Amino acid sequence: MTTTFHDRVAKALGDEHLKGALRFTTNKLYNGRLGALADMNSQAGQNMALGSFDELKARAREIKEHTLEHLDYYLQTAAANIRAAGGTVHFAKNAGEVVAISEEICRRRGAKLAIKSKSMASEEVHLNHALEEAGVQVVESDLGEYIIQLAGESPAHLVIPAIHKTRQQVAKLFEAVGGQPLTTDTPTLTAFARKVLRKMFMTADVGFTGANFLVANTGTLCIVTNEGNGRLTTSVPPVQIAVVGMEKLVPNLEDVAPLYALLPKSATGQKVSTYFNMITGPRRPGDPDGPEELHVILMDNGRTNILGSKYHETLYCIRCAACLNACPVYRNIGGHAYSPVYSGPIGATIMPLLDGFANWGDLAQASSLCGACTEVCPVGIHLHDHLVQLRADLAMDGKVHWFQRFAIRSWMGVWRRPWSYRLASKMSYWLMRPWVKKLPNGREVCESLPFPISNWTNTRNFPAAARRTFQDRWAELQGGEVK
Amino acid sequence: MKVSLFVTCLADHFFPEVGEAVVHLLRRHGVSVDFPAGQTCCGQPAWNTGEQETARAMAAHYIRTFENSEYVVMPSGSCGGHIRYYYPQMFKDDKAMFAKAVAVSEKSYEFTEFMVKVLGVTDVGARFKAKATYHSSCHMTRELGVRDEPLAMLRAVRDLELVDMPRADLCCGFGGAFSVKMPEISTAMADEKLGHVASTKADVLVGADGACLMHMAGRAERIGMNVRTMHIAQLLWEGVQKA
Amino acid sequence: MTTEKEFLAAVSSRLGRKEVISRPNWAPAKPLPTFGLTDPNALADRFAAELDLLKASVYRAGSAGEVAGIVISILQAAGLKGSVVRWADPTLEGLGLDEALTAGGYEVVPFTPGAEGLVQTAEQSVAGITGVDLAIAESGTIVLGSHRWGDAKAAGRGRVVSLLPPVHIALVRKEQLVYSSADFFRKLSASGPLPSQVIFASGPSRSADIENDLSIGVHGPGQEHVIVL
Repeated sequence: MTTTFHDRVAKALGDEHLKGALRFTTNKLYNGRLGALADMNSQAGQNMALGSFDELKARAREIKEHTLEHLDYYLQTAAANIRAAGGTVHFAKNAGEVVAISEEICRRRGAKLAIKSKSMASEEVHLNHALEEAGVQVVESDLGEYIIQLAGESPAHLVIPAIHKTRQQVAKLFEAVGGQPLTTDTPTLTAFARKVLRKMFMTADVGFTGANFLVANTGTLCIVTNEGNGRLTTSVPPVQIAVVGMEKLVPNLEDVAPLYALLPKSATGQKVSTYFNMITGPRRPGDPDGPEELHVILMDNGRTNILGSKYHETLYCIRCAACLNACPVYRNIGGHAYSPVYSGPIGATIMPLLDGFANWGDLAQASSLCGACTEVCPVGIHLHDHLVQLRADLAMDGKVHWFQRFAIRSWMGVWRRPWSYRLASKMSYWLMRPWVKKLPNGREVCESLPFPISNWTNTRNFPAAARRTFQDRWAELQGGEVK
Repeated sequence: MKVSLFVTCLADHFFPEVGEAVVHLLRRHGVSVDFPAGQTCCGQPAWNTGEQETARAMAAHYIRTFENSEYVVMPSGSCGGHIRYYYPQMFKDDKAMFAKAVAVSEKSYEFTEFMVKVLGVTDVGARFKAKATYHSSCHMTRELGVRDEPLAMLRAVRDLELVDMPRADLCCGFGGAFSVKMPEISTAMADEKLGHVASTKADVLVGADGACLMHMAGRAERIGMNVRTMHIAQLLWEGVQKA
Repeated sequence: MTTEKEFLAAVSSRLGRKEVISRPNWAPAKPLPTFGLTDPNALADRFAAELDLLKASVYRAGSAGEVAGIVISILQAAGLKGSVVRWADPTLEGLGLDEALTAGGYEVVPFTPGAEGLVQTAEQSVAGITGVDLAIAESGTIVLGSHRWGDAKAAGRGRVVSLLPPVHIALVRKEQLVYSSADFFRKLSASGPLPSQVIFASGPSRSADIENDLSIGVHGPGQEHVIVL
């Protein structure tokens, strides 16, 4: 990415429409989640649900912790069981290998058209671009992904990729495809996409999917969708290729239950998604449909950097995007300001880990550390703690500006000792005086101060330091009697 | 009962009247208050900017300053959160310091938390005629787990009309160094928060964290919004004097 | 290209091991609880209530003889004409479906093993009729396997009957109702090799990708009709 994080933020903040769209949709998803969880908790209280949110979170963590702790075994087991069911397994350590494997399959099949259901793993390796270069037309079939593909953009949200697009913009994009004017109502736009994409499904040579879970002991891919495009992608084209991040494994089918109980509720506030698709191998002899070939690409692409590190638990993520919807930063800047792949608190955490501090280190600074992300995470990832830790690692790695490090360390160095703290108190009072102004409300404030505090005072008043600090006043208070 | 006041660097420099209010309110409920002279800052600014060694040194200073206190009370949920949530984590590889960190963090309380949980006081006998809305600060709710205590204390104030803040979970955008490193995002967050404050039509914005209040007040003045920001201890003490 | 061995070695090494660990012991600290309803009538009521919330239609058939009539009335109420595809599966036999559909002017195409061009036919059909393997009352979910349960050789179902036509009609027998997906996973684990595809479908296809406005019938069927027998 050639732009800097600050440039992207400035662009996003200048877009009033974007802000409105982000707030509208994230509010809806945030409230939907709260409603779904309240309902689940109340059902659990009557022994009518698998568990409360806290109970399921504990179960989900237990499963993820165990699986990742034994990931080598479960990868091996999953691979053996996928093969036993008639599938082919590939191992890819990076984006280049995922692309090369996919290209090779397309070449062997003489594929001209590939249809995709929504997959963040494939976004990670920029699969569409690479396949197009190799002469394969790639069409996104998730409605949101289709919209942003037509717009030539990347997803702005993990679950709602076209969160930033208005219906007018969507209609324009669709009109360019169909060559006919369209009204901007949702049923018309949806029907148009259904018609265009249905043709693609019926003629596609390859279907690409991701997977939400991969069950090791059965070799089963689990795919969560609402629209049905995931079903079409895995039912109609003669070849299915699933790109699966290696952290998606779970041991047994029963282990899917708590994870799936959490995912749709956390993502969209739905009790369940419309479709939950379990794929075990390609079509069987005599079957009228389903792919003849099933390929599963198990992808590392930076995940071993995280495995076993102090950031290990970020691999528990089930990509529900609850942290995006709760995040007060995301709702102001949107996904594109973060990265073309992952955004929000989880993106700020894993992008630097997956793809390097040099490119993505700045994202870790984009948090007020309010902890909303940690609070909503259904698998209990301590996201804001990881952001704090990343800042420390970035500093150690020389990725934090020397001036910031110098300023913070000098400031804290002075404050560490009571005598220098007190001296600094006195000095700060007098140093600030030239800028101090008394407001009609009685407050003494500075409306401008030198750099770096100017970054504050450009948009906010800064309070003047008190003439007499609390330490100074304590002597008078000390005589106070206990009443 | 003896309490050591940790006034916090922010209240010390910018809002000494908040510290005074805390002292008066504690004494009013039979608590004897001392003020260990060597106290400075809990070290959160260093921790949050990734200067972990410096932050550990600051934490060690806090621990030394308060290790002999019976209770430590502070008018800030954010400092309280930092102490209780992060101090033990900081020293997890140093057995002796870890034990001290746990001990000191367990007896460190945010002001309203101490009043309600330890003293069992929600009604301090205050009367304050105003329409107010309460800003729940992030670290206080999420790291310290203090949500209802300040609200309970405010509901007990006579003549105070308390209006719920919409989307109270949203951060005001302060975030420490974040407010200076990412000023545009920080300001956008403050503007959204102040929009919610305005929608309550409250004339007093009350909170339990000086930093959030300082941020919101500083922005409110810039955009010409007329709302009085007050620390909860200040409101309660003014209310006691008016009662 | 990275080999399996290299890939696994990198993972093992990050986990502090020289080679892949042997089978670990795994059982959650607490087994999945049993919960929810067991009474068949209560299950059927809950199932119907959930489907209603999902904007699916529910019909109750008092006897096998009523099913065909309900199917015809669904198709007629939707104003549909043309061909109808269905599973070639024992669960749909003995109901007089084909006779009734033919009499109603519909061309019936069962997914008989070996027949040609079934996928294209399904795409051109106005409705697809299937049975289910199980139904989950808690969430209004029907479970559709691409094979009959526990019989990997059984053909005659496939994947697209419930997917390509704009209308899906599913027949659920009351005894197929379970309460939760946890019940389902327990049953599935005990039932031998899995079909190549198992679908949970909960209501008609939906999307909220345009301005977060809900729309029904994006890629999958826009109407889901469930007949509880």
